[in-house]
Amino acid sequence: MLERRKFLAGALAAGLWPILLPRPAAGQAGAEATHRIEIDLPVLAEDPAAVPLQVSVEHPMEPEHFIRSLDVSLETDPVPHKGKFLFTPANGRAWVVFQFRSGIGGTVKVVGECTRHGRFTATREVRVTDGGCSTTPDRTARERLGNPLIRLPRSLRPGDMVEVRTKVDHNSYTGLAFRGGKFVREQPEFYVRQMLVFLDDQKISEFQMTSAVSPNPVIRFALKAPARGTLRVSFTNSEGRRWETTQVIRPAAS
Amino acid sequence: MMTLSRREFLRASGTGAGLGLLATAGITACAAPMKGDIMPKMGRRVVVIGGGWGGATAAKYVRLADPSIEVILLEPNKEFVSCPFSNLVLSGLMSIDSMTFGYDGLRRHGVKVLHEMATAIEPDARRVRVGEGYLQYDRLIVSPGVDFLWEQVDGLSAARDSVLHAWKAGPQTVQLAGQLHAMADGGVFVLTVPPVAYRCPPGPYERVCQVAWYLKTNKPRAKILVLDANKNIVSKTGLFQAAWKAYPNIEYRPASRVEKIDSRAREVTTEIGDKVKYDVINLIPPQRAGTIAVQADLVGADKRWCEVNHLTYESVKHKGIHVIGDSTTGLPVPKSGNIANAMGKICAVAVVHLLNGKEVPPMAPGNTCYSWVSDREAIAVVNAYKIENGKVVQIEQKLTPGASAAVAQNSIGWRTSIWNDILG
Amino acid sequence: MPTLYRLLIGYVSLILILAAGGGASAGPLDAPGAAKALACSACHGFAGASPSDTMPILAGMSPAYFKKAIQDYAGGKRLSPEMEPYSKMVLQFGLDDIAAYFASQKRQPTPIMLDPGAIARGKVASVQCVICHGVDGKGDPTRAIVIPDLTSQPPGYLRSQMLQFKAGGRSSGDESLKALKALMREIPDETFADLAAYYSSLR
Repeated sequence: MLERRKFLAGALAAGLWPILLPRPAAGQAGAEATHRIEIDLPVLAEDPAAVPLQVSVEHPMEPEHFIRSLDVSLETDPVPHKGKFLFTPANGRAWVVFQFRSGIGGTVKVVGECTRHGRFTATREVRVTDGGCSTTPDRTARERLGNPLIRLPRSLRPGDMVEVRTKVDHNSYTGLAFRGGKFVREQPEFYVRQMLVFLDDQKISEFQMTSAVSPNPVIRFALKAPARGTLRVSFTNSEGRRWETTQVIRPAAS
Repeated sequence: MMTLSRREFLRASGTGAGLGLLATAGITACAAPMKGDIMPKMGRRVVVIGGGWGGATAAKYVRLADPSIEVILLEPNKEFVSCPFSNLVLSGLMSIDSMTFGYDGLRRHGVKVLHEMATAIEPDARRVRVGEGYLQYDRLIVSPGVDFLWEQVDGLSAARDSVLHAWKAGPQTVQLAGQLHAMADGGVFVLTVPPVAYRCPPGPYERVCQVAWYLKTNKPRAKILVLDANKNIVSKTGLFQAAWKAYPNIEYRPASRVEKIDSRAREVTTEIGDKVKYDVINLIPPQRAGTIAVQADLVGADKRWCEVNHLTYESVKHKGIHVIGDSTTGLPVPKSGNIANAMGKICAVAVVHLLNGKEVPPMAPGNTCYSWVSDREAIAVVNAYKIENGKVVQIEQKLTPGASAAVAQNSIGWRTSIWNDILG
Repeated sequence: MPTLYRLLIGYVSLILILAAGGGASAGPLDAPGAAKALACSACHGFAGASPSDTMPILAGMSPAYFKKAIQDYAGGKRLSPEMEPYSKMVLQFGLDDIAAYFASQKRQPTPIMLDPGAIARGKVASVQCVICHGVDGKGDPTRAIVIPDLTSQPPGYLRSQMLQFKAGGRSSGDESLKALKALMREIPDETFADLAAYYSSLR
C-alpha cells in the first residue's frame, strides 16, 4: 500500500514504478482479521470534481474468508453514492484508489463487508475548496471516449502483490444543476458505470460506479500475481457502450 | 496621481536617485553580511516579505493608508517581472522588457525596499531574520508566492537546470521562448499541467494557445502535446475548448499526471505508463506556498497552503502575521494576480486599522482574469465576492461569451492599470 | 518630461498638505467609501484616476451618473462581462458611499496622448452634441436622463461607448437613450475617434 504520508502529500503521490506492494504482515493468514478501514483523503481537496481517495483493510483474502466489498458514500452530496468495489481473493489485498466528486465535502463513509463477519464501517471528514474559476466543461464534447489502458509491471513473480492501474477516457456528468437553492435534474447522467476485471475467464474484481466518480477516472487496485494469464479490463458506460483492453502476464525469467 | 511610464521605471530603477524626492535613505545591500538589528525600529513598522503582486501592493497601500507607519519590503529580485502576459513572450508577441519594472515607484511612497531574502520568521520575538541579521516588526505581511514540489516528479530535482517551468516570469521565460523558437519544424513541444491547486489556473492553457498559435504560424508541422494531471481543463473550460478548435496541432491528454522525467532520453512517463518523447519540455511542477511560509509553520496540516482570516488575512496559526496571495487557501478565490493585488490592498487597510486600534472594515476581493487565445483575441472570467458571516463568499462568476479583440483590448487597459496600482 | 514633473510636484504638494494637516492617520484612504472602493483601483486606478485608454476615469464622476451606470451593469442592461459582477459588489458594499468617494476625488485628465488634428476635427463635429452635453462637455447630471461629464476621459473609452450606442448595444430598450442612439447612427464611425479626442481634451 502506498505510504500514507506519500499519498496525502500532493494528494496524487508519485509512486515509483513498478510498485510491489508489501506482503501482509507476517502471520496474518490465520491471525485475527481486523475490520478497520484505512481511509486516506487530503485534508483539503483542491478540486471538487476529483477528490482523491484511498481505502484499504488489512485482512486476509483467503477463499473462505475475505473482504467482499468496500462501498463509499458521502450522504450530504447531491449524488451521495460514489462507488462500490467488489474484491475476490485473487486481488490479494482489499485496497482501491479512485477519485470522486463532492459538492462541498463532508463525512465520507465506507462500508466494508467481510464474508465471515458481515458489515463494518468507518468515516472520515474531507473539506473541499473551490478555486473559484473552474467552469463547467462543454457538455457536447464527446470526442474523447474510450482508450482504456492497463498498467502493470512487465514481469512478475507468482505471488507478488502488485498494483494495477487502469484508466478510461470518459466524461462524467451528474446531469444536476443548482437552481433556486437546490439541485435539479437538467440532463440525464452520463458516466462510466462499471469496471470489470477478469483473469482469463474468471471475474476477479468489479467496480460499480456512479456519476459521482470523476471524469477520466484512474483506478488502482491490487492483484496477487499469477504465474501467467491474461488480465482483461472492461468498462461500460451509462448508455451501455463498452470498451475493453487486455494485458498478458508473462512468467518472470528465472 | 503618479502615472506609471515604463520608460520612467527602467530609467529610474537603474540609478535609484532621479525622481526619488520622497525616497528615504537608500538601503543598499551591503557587501558584508548584516548582523544584529539591521534597522532599529523607531515607531510603528510593517514588514512585508515578497515584492510581487500581493506584497508590493500591500507595502504601497500601508503607506497610502497611514504614512506615519514605516514599511520595509523584502524582495530579493531587483526588478518586478509580470507573470500575467509573460505567455506572450513565448509566442514572440511581447518582449520581457515590456513587462519588467523597477521598485522606485514604491520608494516614492516611502516604502523602504530591501533587495534581500527573508530567511526565517520568529513570531514570538516579532522579527524577521535576514541573513545573519534581523528586522523587528509590529505587523508582518507575508506574500511569498509559490515554490515547487520537485520531488513529486521522479528525476526532476536533478534536471532542474534544463527542464524549465517558466512559472515565475523572468529568465526562464526568455529561455523557454528561445527553446521553442529554436525547435525544429516537425518537433514536439510537451507541456505538463500540475494537479490543482497551482498558481494561475488558466495560465497553462493560455500558454498552450500561445505556443500553438506560434507553431501554427511558424512551424506548421510541429505539435504541442499537453499532459494534464487534472481531469479536464481547469479554468474557462468551454472557452478554451472552443479556442483550441483553431489549433489542430494541440493534442490534449487529461488525467495524465507526469510521474517521471528522463531528461537525457528526453522522455516523460505518465501515471498510467504512457511514455512521451519531447523535443522541448515545459514541465510545470506541483506547487505549494513559498518556502518561508513552510519554514515559519504558516501552512496547514497539508503543509502546502496557509489558512487565513477572511477579513484581515491574519494567519490562523500565528497572530500578528498576515498572509496574502497565492500562498493562501480556504477562500473560494483563484490564485490569480488580480486576487493577490486585491488581498494586498484589503490586508494593508486592515493592518493599518488594527495598528490604530480601529475596527477593520469588511471588504472582499474581486477577480478579473484574461487569457489570450491567439495573437489578437482574449477570453475572460470575472468573479465578484462578498463577506457573509465573516467569510468570503462568491456573489457571481461571469465569462465572456467568446474570444474577441475587444476583450483583448480590455486586458491591455487592465494591465496598464494594475501594474500602476501595484508599483506606481 | 515636463508633464511628469508637473505631476510629481502636484503629488509632493498633496503629500505635504496631507502631512501638514496633522493627525496620525490623515490619508487618502480614510473616506468611508475608500475601503469599499479598493477593488476598483485594479482597473480604474487609485482613487478612480484611470491610467489606461480603456477604462473610464471615476474620479469626479457625478454620483447620479455613477449610480445609474452601476445599476445598469448589475441589471444586465449595460452589457459588460467584467462590470456585471463588480457592479454587484458595489451594490453589496454600499453604492452611496462608493459613489460619494469617487465624486469627491479631483479629476485629473487622462494621460493618453491626443492628436491635435483629431481634436480640431472633433470640435467641428461636436456641434450636434452640445445641446445635451453642453459647450463645456460637462453634461448635466441633474436632469432625469443623467447626462455625463465627458471631459478628460480616455479617448479609447469614449470611442468604444459611442460605437456601442450606434450599434444599439448599450442599454437596449432604455427610452432615455433613444434620441442619442438615433443621433449616433447618423455619424460615420471614423468621426468617433475625432469626437473622442476632442472631449478627452476638454478640462
